[in-house]
Amino acid sequence: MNRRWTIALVVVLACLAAGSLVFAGGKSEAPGPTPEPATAAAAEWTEKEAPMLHELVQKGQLPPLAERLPRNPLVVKPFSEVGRYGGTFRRGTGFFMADEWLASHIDGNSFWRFQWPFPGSGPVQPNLADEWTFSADGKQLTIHIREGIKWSDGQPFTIDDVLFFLNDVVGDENVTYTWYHTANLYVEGRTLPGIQRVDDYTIRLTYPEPAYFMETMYAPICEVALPAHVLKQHHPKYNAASSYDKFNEQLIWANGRGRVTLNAWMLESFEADKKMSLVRNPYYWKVDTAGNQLPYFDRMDVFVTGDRQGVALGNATGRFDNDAMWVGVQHLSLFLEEQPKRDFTIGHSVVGGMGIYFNFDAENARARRVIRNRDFRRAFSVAINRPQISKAFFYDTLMPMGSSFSPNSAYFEEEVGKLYSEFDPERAKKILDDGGIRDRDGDGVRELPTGEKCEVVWSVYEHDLYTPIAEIVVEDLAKVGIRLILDVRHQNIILDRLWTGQFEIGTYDYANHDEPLAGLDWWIPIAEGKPFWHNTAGTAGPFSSEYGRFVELMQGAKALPFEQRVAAVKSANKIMAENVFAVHIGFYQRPNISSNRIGNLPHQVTRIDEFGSDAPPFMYFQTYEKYPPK
Amino acid sequence: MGMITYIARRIAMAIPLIVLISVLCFIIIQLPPGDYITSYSAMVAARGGWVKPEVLTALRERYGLDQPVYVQYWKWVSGFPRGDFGIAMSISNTPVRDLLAERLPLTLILNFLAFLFTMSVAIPIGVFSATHKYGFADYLLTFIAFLGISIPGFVLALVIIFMSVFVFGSSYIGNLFSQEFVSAPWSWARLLDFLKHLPAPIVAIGVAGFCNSMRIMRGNMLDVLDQQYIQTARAKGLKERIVIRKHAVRIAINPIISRVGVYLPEILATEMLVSIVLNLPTIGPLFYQSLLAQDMYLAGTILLIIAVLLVIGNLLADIFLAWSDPRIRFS
Repeated sequence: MNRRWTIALVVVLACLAAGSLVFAGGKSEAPGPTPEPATAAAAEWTEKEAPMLHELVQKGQLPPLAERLPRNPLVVKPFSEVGRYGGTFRRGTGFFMADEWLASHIDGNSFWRFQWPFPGSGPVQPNLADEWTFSADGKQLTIHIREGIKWSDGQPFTIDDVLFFLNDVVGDENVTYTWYHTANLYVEGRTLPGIQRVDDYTIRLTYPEPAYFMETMYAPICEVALPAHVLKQHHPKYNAASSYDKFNEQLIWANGRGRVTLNAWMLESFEADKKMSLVRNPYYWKVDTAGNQLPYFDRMDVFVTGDRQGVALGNATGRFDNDAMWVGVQHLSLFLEEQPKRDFTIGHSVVGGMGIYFNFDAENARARRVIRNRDFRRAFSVAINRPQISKAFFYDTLMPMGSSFSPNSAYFEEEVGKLYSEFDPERAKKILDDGGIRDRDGDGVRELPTGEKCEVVWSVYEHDLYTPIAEIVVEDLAKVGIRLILDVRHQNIILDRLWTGQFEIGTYDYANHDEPLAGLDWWIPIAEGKPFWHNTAGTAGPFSSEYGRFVELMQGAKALPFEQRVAAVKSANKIMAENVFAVHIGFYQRPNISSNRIGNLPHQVTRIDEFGSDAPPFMYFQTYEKYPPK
Repeated sequence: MGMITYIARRIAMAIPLIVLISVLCFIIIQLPPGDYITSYSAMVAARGGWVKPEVLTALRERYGLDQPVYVQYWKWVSGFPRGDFGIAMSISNTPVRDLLAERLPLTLILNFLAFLFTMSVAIPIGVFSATHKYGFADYLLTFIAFLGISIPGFVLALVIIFMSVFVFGSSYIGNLFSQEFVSAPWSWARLLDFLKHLPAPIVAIGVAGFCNSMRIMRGNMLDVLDQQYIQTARAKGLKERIVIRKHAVRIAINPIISRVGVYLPEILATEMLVSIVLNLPTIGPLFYQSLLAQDMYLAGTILLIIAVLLVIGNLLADIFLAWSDPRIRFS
């Protein structure tokens, strides 16, 4: 009996001792692998390559820098200043999503890239390709890639790697390759454009229609080439002994394919539920304005935390250096509270908020007529108390917006964006009164001049933000004499109804507004059943002549060169805003968090979901370590 | 001899039970509509991408998701003798066995330590509370106990996170290892790091259970202390300390031990919840993720493991009870 008590006592004491260690709040010592030496000494570093590479060159294990870079490396102007070599960039993720996430969130390299940090501010910039031209009719695109780029294992990168990717991976039905935006390569269905090899560094693509918009479509593709010298031997077309199953295994980035890359860091180790480590690519083909080979960081580590809160916690406490994807508005109060004591900056990106979509083909004839009435829609938008919603849900960072494309895009104009977005119930009532929409039977709900009652069913899915916002909007609209009946259900059910056009008014994210031409089926009838909010437009025709004009402009825009395209879409945007095709609550500032120890990290970025993720906005390859983590 | 036969009999009964459980687990996992591929394409769509229908069909074929349920079940089960529990499609096709290799022992250790913590705190305090019935200490401890029972484990876990990180500035929260040790091989340094991370989860998991057990222990002790044989022991002149420890507690503890089998699912469930909140590398968070992604081999295997753990746990509890209470053995 005595022994049992002793054991119990020992256990309890041990727990208490360990507990006191916790609450004493020590940092974890690092008897394990030490981080890179402080970059202070690097201030005197004059070589144009990282110390760890220079060492290998001097030992004869790596060719000198001049042989590793292409003839004309891409010169990148750093965000703030020329940086210093060294350090490990640490990030957290809830979990590793499918393969394509891994690489695309670190670095991605297509033929060209967006303007940075604001994609909408101009045409695309050279990246892997240093020159490209369209034929006179726009149907042929000739792309020349930089000469002398090498893969991270030192082998030359030629147009054959691009051809291998296009013909034998993307163009081969049996290959499972689902990386983001690869679908942008297809012309229609599953056909690729005509592909012709011109020489070792040049390719010509032929399209059925003028293809100027391919500049925008191709820019976000994570990779446009694969190392043929590594992968061809596993492809059944070139090696009868292999099989598609084996090839598909080899294609998986995390399995080891990520070791041979054109990106800033190459895969070193990957444990799916714990951590991914990357180390610098000695053959990276970009330099800064002083001629230093990029990236500055030697390594990047990505840790799995399990969920969003873990990532937010890690960033707030300085364990991670940056995040824009997992943290959200819900973490803002925590960040603001911790900011004085810690060493980070809260940035933001402007993202679309809640959208209210009118279904111009609602089955209920009465509702359909009400919805198709422009005065109804205009009054609807003006009656919404956006300032109150902003204060209640968005920490007062909401930018009220009408029915317009995003400020992130090249098509935005402020006066257009403001149309019908100010909170003015009196104006709403006036619009309705002037349109002959009055309450004739005294029940508080207006009727159209033709007698239809302004009573519509609104399908909203259960959502932290959208459901309570919807309740507020219902009240706002009741004050101007419009009755909305909320139908709140599980997301799967509501979305199913939205996409099949079985709703009257429905709510979803205000999406596809950063680059509407990349998601045209959201706006115009280019496919059956699209857009989901007017799915007979393709067959029965547009519900109004203004929408018809909108469709014409948007459809033709893709085939136009940059300036004309922008002009056309701006006109379409104006039509949309004036006619309120959909109601948008507004854009809000979605927070991101960055440690102050990282230099060259922009704080206001554009996270365009249609076009990939963090890597483009932050350009990690040009960030550097100002000081090591504490 | 009676003991050995008893154990053998119980084990023999457990095996068909586990087989039945494996079938049930697999069916349960398959019940929600859709499969991993539907959740995968939904995830890609949510990220603004799109997967070609042909690719989805090819993936389905590859994972065998287009086969009838019993074929999929057989595919899963037939790997067991080889130690192959399928692959986790949502975690880069990592073999399930690799994912569980470290998590399972950590889960067991955590649960065991939490259980020890609970018992080693609850029992002495329960005894103390009973022997000082209606004293100030008793009322205070009872109040704390009710507080502990009412606070859900995950709320407590959140409070612990907040207090530890933002009030005390600790960095030992949010995993069972610090970043440098996450992937490192085992060493004394790693063990020490692991121990430093333990108090928070153990307290979060153990509190509810400890409060419960404390109250029960107190109740049992009060019952026992009224018994005649206690009076006799005192009359014999035994020291009060011996009366309590050797006679009263030993009897009073019986109901608690016999309830251990019932207690196990509670502690396992609380551990899973707390682990999800604290992001510990145990089975809980993995299970949760796999359910969301409809990753059936991973989810099915974990569910099966949980069920097996409970069966074994119950078996061990019964064996322990049989050992400590001779009356049961010879019935």
